[in-house]
Amino acid sequence: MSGTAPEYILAVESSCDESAVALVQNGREVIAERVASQTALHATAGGVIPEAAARAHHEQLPHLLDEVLDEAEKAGVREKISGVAVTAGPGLIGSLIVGTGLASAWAWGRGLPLIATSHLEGHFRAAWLTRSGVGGGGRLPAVALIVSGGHTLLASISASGEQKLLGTTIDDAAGEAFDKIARLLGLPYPGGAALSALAAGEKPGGARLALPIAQTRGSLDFSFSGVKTAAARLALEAIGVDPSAPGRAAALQRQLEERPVPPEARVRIAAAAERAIVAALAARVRTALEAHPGAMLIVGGGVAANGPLRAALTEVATAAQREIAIPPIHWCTDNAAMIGAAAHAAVREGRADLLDPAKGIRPAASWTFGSIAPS
Amino acid sequence: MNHYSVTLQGLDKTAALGAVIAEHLRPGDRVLLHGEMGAGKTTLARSIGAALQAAPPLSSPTFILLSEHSGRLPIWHLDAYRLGPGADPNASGLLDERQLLGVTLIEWPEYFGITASGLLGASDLHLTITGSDEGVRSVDLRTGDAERLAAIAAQWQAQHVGATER
Repeated sequence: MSGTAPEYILAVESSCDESAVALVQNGREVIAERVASQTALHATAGGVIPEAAARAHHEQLPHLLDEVLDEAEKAGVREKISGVAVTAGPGLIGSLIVGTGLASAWAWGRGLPLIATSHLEGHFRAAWLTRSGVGGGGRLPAVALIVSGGHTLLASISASGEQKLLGTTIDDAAGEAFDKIARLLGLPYPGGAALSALAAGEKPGGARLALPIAQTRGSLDFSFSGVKTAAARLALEAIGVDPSAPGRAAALQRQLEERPVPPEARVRIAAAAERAIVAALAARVRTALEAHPGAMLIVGGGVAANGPLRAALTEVATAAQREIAIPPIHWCTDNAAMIGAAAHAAVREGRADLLDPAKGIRPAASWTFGSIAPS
Repeated sequence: MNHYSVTLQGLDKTAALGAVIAEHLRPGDRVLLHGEMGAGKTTLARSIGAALQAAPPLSSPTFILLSEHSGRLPIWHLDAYRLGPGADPNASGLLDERQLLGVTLIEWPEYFGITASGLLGASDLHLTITGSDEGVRSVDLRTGDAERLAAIAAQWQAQHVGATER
């Protein structure tokens, strides 16, 4: 079952701490887009505070919408907008309510249909987005790896768009493992990018530390808790604490704050951690590609910015003689254009209906990848 | 009985403890998971979630702070790690009235000022995990509901004899 998707889709994203609005043509061409990050707002509190995030979305989304509509006007396509897509999950429920409320109201006012869209589907559909000749390359069938601070998932998408979850993390997300190991080494949370920068400073040729890659029962599942714990042990050893001594764990963070890990050891531990995480991701992607002949590799999520990961995945794809698509970084992190792309594909491939905005849509904090919209 | 200690060897025993605990959970309960980074809080939370038939399965909510799951009871899974000491779970919207309908699992609860000492609530179950990731773990259970703790202890003794100690 497939449907005719609206040509010009206005898309709204507000699942976490980025407010975003975009206008996307045919699920591919980005006409206009705006993203407002709440990072500065949350930095003082050390994280995304759901209540504050929802309020910030409420303040920012109308301005972003106005700017995107202005740009659409200049491009001469404002009156051509024929559908509204909005992230309906997964995410923080308060944030989702603000986004779906705004999208529903605007669609109702214009008499346009509404498309409830999965944030996770958005991340892999970002590989279809293009603007001024940049981006694109996504095609089906595909194996998709989505890696971010909050998500780690490996999925297959058939030629007809059928999605199947192949593996996910049983404990920490890949980005979270980066962030937590960074904190052990004295970098502020979230410090995944800083950890990677530290790791890049490892001197070539020297003895390298190795961290274990956790085995999981489901061969395509991930576990990053063990890498984190092993990094903690190395950090304790580096400051002269016996990690196996009773009670060592009781004061792990305090001990590392009082006695920071020496610079050279920090670099070696960071490099070992990055190698282990990248190797674990690459190994499962390799297995997934072998099980899906003819599938290309699509990578999404904020951790796709990591240089060694991009290199390792490119190597895996090349060895398997597959194409690889990694969107530009602003489409790897949370954005609304990817929601426009996902909504178009979901309608086209028969997984989503055009909804009546007067009936509203119910956002869902949890939305299992590959399932149809929660009711 | 105000506390009960269980020694766990391996992931199978962690899953077994999660299953026993889950059987005794009621709407409005909070499960407070204490322990250092790498102690196994998320793994135990995931085991409890699995026994409650959580969909999707629980994983670490550190980055997203709060995840919601359907199951035999609705499940909320919180993590205060990113927020650090002194966070206010009520003002931030992390704890709310909906959670009276289901079970709320909280990692790093001490950052919300919720500790396993002093007067404990009858709907709060504190699980303090110590020990290493690869060897033996010890879990200390505390709650203000002595009857329920005794029931959990009795079931654990009956089903997993030899793996327990007082």
